[in-house]
Amino acid sequence: MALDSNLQLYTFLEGLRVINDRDERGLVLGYSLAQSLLTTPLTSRRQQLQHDEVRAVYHGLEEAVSQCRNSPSSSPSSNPAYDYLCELRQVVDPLIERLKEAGSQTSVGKNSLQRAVELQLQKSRNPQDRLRRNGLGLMDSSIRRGRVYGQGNILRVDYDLLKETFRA
Amino acid sequence: MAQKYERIILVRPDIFEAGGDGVFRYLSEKGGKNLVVLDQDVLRRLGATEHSSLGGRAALDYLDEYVQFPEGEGRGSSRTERARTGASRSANIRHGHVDDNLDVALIRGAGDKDLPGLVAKVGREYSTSDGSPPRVMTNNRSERIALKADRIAVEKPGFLMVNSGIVDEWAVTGNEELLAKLRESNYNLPLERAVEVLNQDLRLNQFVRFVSSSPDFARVEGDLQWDRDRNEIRGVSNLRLRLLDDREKSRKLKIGEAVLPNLLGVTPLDMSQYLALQYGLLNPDISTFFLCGSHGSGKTLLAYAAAIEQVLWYDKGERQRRGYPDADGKGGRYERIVLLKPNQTLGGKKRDVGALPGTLWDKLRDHLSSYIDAHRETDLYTQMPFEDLMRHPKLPTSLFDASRTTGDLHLNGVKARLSPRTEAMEMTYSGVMYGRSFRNTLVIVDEAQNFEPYELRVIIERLGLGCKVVIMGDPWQANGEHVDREINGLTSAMAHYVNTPFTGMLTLGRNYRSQASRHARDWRTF
Repeated sequence: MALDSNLQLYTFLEGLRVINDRDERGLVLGYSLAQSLLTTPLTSRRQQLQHDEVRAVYHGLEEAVSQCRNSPSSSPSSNPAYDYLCELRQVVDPLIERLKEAGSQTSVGKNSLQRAVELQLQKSRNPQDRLRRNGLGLMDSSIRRGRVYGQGNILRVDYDLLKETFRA
Repeated sequence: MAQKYERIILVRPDIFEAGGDGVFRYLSEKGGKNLVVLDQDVLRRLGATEHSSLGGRAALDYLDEYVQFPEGEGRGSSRTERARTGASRSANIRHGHVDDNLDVALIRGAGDKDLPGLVAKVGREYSTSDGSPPRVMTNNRSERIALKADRIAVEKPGFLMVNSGIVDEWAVTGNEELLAKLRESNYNLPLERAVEVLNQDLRLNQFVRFVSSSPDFARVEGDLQWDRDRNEIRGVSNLRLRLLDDREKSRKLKIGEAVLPNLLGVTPLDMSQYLALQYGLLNPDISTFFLCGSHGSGKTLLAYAAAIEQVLWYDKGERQRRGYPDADGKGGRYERIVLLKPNQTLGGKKRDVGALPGTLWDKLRDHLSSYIDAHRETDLYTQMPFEDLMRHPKLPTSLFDASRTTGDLHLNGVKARLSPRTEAMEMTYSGVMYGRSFRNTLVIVDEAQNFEPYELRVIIERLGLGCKVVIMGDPWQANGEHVDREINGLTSAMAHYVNTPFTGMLTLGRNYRSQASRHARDWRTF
């Protein structure tokens, strides 16, 4: 069954536009990607793995959009994006620490997005900044590509875009 | 035995237009024996006056100066004839040498009409050491698609490509440990220590952004060692990371000792706008400043306000307060402003305004519309017409029949005026850059992403003593003939200048236009 064309990277990233500051948006996006890929349990069959990873990213972005759309008056700091970023950091920063100390923990395939982001963060001297750049890079690439229409597999197209992000 | 080459590359004219003689120098330095093949029709096109580009001319200059064509090459029109004369190649090829790494072949072919045929001809005449076929180097999208359809190897000019992510390198993300250390050490930390804590290299004039509900910023600074005439930075010592203080976090602008409530009525709306003004546009130590950002981020307004501020004439006391180097003298920090935009003219020559209807001012006004809009946002709007910036103080010119009428200006309770000696602002275009040089001028290069790399290089080469250049643009809006987000003047210049002590860069992060405008950025109309 074809995927609902509203469920794709482009539409989620468009939703994150509610964060008007570019760097802040990049950080929220980068951290959301890391949280989705580093914490979601995944299967090991190749094609199913790719789909699971992309869906995990979608789920994370959906949550990010929802949180960042909260009214500033209901946010402790009056900046919902910052508050959500703090939540994400509480999860992701310790994972990065563990990666740096103990190396990759993943048991899934070596071509997975999870492995790619682990390697990237392990090698990165300043992982927080790396995540910001990942977020900015993905945002720019996705907006340039635009909404995916009529292509056989939206998941495949978005997977390739994500792969490119973690290769940069 | 015939020479075998590491690479055989048939270079298309857009590569010269974008990069000048860069492809020759790149292959000459790359190592291995390389052959650049040029169609003679392409050569003629590069040299034709009506089509010439700055880059094309540079390529021709290189060929003229460096390529040696030995005697005896290229004689003989058939195999028999060549066998008789001992000539190595057909009459349609002229083979030349540059150095141990680079040969050049000029080939008479059908050129644009039969590129595959030309490639096949090159393949018959020359061979590579690994047997790979000749490649075509072009950044022209339609040409690349056509060549790929004909199964011809195509490559982009890697030596011109720059990752557009460079625009985000103006600031890096800091961590809590670094922020704590800065606060403990009186807001200043030796750079070495900061790099150790952050575990990331930092460079002079770069910023560190600390994530919080209202972000803190720190800046990499140093003590500059100038030459005797204060024209050139010779060295930098005492490199440190400094946390911005409360005045800076409140976005109050300071020029010398003068703390300004606003800049000609313009106030920075967020920290990135403030940093762009304080540490880029108004900073006399930064002679090359890159200001990036999408439409609606405020680039034009900020650049305009900062430029006008720095060409205004103040009295002696105010000059001293502002820290102008020659406080007893007269004049602004700069004598005048020169504005450059890429100009794809309607039906005329490339980069030339001549073909447009109307007076010269009518033709230029459209290109200045964003600055005219910016003028309306400043306190100048109620005191002088925009045109007076471009009028001579005393004489009529080709642009205007009458001289300037504006007298003294009153800005934030201070009296100022435009220069009584010269026009305050001039607009020009890259086509006439050859032969010009500028002194004590603030040059604004707008929409730099639509300049080709070589064009922008020529512009910056024109800058003389006392000049500042502000280069503005957004690589994602590159839409010129031979530019895209990876190959354009803006990012090419950023990559070249990023590590110099006199360069700053900043990307404005917020869009201050309407919601519909912000949404239009994603509107795909192609």
